[in-house]
Amino acid sequence: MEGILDHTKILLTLVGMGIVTYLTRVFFLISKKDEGMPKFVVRALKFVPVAVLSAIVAPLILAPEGRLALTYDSPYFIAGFVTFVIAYLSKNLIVTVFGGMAVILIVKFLIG
Amino acid sequence: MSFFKKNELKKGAIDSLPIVISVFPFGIIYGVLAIKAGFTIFEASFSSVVVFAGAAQLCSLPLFAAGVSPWAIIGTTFIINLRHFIMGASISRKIKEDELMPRLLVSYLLVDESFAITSTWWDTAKRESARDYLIGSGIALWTSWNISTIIGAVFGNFLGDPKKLGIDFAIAAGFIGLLVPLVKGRVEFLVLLVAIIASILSYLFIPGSWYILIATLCASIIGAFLSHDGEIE
Repeated sequence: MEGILDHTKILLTLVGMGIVTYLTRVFFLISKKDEGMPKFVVRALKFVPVAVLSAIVAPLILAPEGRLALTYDSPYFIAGFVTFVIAYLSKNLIVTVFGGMAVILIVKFLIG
Repeated sequence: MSFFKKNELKKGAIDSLPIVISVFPFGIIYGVLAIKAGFTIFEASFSSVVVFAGAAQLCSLPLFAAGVSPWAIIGTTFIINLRHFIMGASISRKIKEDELMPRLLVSYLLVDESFAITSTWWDTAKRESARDYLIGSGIALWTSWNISTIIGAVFGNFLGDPKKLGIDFAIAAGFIGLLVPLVKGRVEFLVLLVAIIASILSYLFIPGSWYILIATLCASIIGAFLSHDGEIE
C-alpha cells in the first residue's frame, strides 16, 4: 500500500542521496587544497570506478534472477560476455549499448 | 555571470554533444524504471535534479523497490560516488580561480562524463583553467539527463515490461561500456575480478543489498595494496 508517508520517505531519502553525492564532489573542489589524504586512500580511490562498475554489473549478468546462473542457457550470462567483447573491440559506448541490447534480444529469441 | 568565459562554456557544451546523445537513452531508462520502482513522475524528476548521478540513481531503484532502509540507500549512494573525491581533487588543481560560488557550481556539475570530457580537453593543449569548460559540459549533460528522465517517467506507463524490450540489459551494457576502457592494466583487471567475486558472494549471501558497498571496498583496497604511489592525476 502506498501512502503519503512512503512518498515523504522517498523524498527525504532522495535529499539524503543528493547531500552525500554533493559532499563527495565539493570536498576537494571547494578550494585548491588537495594534500593531507593518506597515500593508501588516494590509491584505493583510484580503483573505485573499476571496482564499483564491476560490482554493479556482476549480479546483473551472473545472477539475474537472484540465483547464480553461469550456464549456456542463461541469456544474461551469454549476452554479458558478448557485450564485454563488443565494448573491448568497439571502445564506443553507443555501439556497446545497442549491440548489447541486440544480443540479448537475439539470445532470448533463440533460447526462448 | 559576466566573469565566465562564454567561448569556453560553449566549447564545453558542444564537445559534449556525442555523450549528451548517449546519456539520453539512459535517462529514459532511468525514468521508466523509477516509475516501476514506485516513484511518482515528480519524484523521478526530483531525483535527477537533486542527485544528478546516473549510476547511483539507477542502483538505488532496486533498493527503493525492495523497501530497503533509507540509510542503506544513502550509504550505497555515498560509496558509489566516492570516486568523485578523487575526480574533484584532480579537477580542482586545474581550476585557477578562487571564487566560491563558481566552485560550488562546478561541484554540482562534476559527473563521470564531464570529468572525462574536460580531462581530455585539458590534455590536448595548454589551458588556463578548466572551470568554465567543465561548467559548459556539465550543463549540457544535466539538460540531457533531466529531460530524458522526465520523458521516461511520463511515457513509462505506456511502455511494456523493460525485460521484454531488452531495456533492462541496456543498463548492464552501459556499465560494461563504461567499465571496459577503465581496465587499463593488470591491477585494474585484478580489481575487476575481485569486485565481481565479492559482489556475487555478498549479493547471494548477505541480505540488505550491501553488495556494491562491500565489493567496492574490498576491490579498491586490494587495488591500493597492489599498486604504488605514482602519477595520481
